[in-house]
Amino acid sequence: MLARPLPLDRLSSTPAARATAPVALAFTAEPDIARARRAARELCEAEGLEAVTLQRVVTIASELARNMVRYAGGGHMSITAEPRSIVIVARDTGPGIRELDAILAGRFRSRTSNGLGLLGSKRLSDSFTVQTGAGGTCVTAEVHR
Amino acid sequence: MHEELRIPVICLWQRLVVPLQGDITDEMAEALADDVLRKLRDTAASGLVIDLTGMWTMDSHLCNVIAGLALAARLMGTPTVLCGMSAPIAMTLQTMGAQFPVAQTALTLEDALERLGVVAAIGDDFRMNSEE
Repeated sequence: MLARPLPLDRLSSTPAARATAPVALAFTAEPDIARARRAARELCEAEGLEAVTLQRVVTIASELARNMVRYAGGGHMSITAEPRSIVIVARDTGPGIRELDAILAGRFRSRTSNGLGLLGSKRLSDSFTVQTGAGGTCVTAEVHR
Repeated sequence: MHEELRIPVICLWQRLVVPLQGDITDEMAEALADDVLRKLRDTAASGLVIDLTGMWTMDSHLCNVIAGLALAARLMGTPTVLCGMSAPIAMTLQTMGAQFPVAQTALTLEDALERLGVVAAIGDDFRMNSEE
């Protein structure tokens, strides 16, 4: 899937949108997943977002962080407050997600997972793109304010 | 696992109550499932309550652990009631499509215990020890 073009109005940021610095995190181990949740929460609180929006962002950050730690041996995540949305980018150099279509169609379940990590993140996002291949995976999730 | 990270499992009137607080790591969640099932067997409790009042977030993995715990408890003959889920968490889990097929749900801890047959009787003659 390709990212859709950015709407023009996102390119002109308002002063309020610059209030919170983007968060950049590196992951290698399981405790990092909780760190992603806390970082997402702090950014959303600093932005004064509603409780449900905060919960969506925190949950997406948690799901994407766990995927990187479990299946890609780690990765990097950035969480950025844009003028109209919060953007989470999770990037790894793991083996790629071979069952991507089945996962996003809700047809995938494994013994250790209910298959909801990636699909649930997509359902919580207003815009969701996955680029994956043998060189790694980049997931971009956007939640409107 | 460090003892201070263990989640308490409280026995009340032959029901087990598990108050989850704050942020549960994957490691804590897995230790919790083991602890609760062992204590269910040891106490022969007739019900399990998982109180989510103190949780600020829940993701699909924690849901999966709790759903698996409720299923295992049912196989041991014990019903599970979840209670105290906040509105934002409930809305988020509903959007994701998370399900708890074998657990009942209740709004509060009191409701959950009532669902498991606990009947509250509050006497008028209650005194603090120091007043006697």
